[in-house]
Amino acid sequence: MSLFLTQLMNGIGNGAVYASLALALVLIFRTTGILNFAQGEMALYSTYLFWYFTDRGLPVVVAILAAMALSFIGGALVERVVIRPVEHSSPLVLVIVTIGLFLALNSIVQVQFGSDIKTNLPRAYPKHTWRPGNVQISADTLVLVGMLAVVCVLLYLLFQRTKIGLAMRAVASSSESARLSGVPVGQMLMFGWGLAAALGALAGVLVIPQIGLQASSMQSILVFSFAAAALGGFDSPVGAVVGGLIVGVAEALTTQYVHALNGIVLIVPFGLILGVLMVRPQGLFGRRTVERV
Amino acid sequence: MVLLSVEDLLVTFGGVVAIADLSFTLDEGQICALIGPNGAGKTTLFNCVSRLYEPKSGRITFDGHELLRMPAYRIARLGIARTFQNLALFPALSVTDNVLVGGYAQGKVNAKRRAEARDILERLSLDHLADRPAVGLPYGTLKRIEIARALAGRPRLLMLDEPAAGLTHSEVDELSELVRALRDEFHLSVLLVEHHMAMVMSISDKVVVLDFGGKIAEGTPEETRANPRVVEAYLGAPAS
Repeated sequence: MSLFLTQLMNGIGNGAVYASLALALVLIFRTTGILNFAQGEMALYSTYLFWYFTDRGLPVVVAILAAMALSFIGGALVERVVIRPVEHSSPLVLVIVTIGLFLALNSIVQVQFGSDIKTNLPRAYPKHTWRPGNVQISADTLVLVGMLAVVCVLLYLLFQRTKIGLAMRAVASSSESARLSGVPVGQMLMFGWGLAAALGALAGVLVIPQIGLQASSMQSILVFSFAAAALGGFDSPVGAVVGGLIVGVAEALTTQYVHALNGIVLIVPFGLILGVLMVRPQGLFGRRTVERV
Repeated sequence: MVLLSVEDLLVTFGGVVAIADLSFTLDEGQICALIGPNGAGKTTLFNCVSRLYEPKSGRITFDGHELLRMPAYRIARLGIARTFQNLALFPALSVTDNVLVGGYAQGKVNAKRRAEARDILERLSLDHLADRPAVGLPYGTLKRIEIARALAGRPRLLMLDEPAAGLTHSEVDELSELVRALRDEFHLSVLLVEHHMAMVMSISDKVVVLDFGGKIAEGTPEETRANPRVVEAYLGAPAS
């Protein structure tokens, strides 16, 4: 039983990472209708920035904030420079553009920072494990879950209580009407991409120190996050969080109890995506879109 | 005083001329109706003023500003708001939020702005729906929400695109009353596209008649009704 609970806690910790990256995916999908395959590599780049700053001697917290701020600017620039010129193209074109961005960022980090594994990433908090009963709860889990909770509250306040949040919801609901009501839609889209990039940066700097930083660090995490967003529904922030936690727990329990899948745990998110697409394509919390013909 | 002036406007889609050398003016405080058969270019004109369509040539000035030199989102800030023939609300947002977005150009969303939004909803008898999402509400209600959203931008010019379409007879009478009352209460000028002739004739100060993208008549409701070219456009030429 305590083993089960320990794995459950680990799963929830990982799930918090998938949830925050899934939130970033949902943020971009809701405002621009784009599945951003480059989301993981954007977070990867942010984490390299974090590594670079700490390597130059900046305190950890300052380095995190600096990486998030630069990621915000970078995300906004990506929207303006890469996405805007093709925003009215077919979904296929947009998918290819974000995959191109994925490959480009992945190559850039290797050229810019080297392709070796960086293991000297400082931690933002000490390593510690609590043992209430026989259950093990690591500081990683608590920090990740706490981070997710704070992010959710901040995003809720942003979207429900501020003018910019209102404008972003309006753009997500109908960008043409928003423009006619005087909302500068382009600026809102840049803001949305910036926000998603900063969110991904936060997830990256918290999770990558546990697994080591290299060019492929974010790839399996991105697959799990996509599964989370698909499970929860790509247009639902609540769905992203619930989906992320479910995927994290499913991963941890599969690793522990289904030995046949050792080493190929990625089958879990792929199976979930497939299952969701067959049974409930809009996801658990997504809204079914009805198109008028 | 002239508030909106359209000069020599030419709009083409490929080889099709949608508006041909159209000129007219709207005075401050006026209710001006644009009428004409389907395809005459009425909604096209609205879309030019909203900066959705790019005219080939011509000028549109509003209170001294050249509209055709501005991006779409700046139009609302100048004081021009509109409603749509096919509703264009934000279905996922609550009725109050829809109205608040309409006032986007007015600055911060604070208690004062929320109070204004509440007042507008009350004025249009929508206050009981304030927290409902717009999706799923009846058609006539959605049309009033669109007017509420437009009013939240404190417009000087309100453009209504077929506000009476799809409404029942009694609703149309109410709407006519409402448009006149709102004009006086909110110090508006109104540009109206409408097929419902009884409404047009009862509330307009001025009527501009379009046919095939060109203006064929302009004047008071009485003058245009008596104009033979207008009768011809609507009913066809008499057999001789």
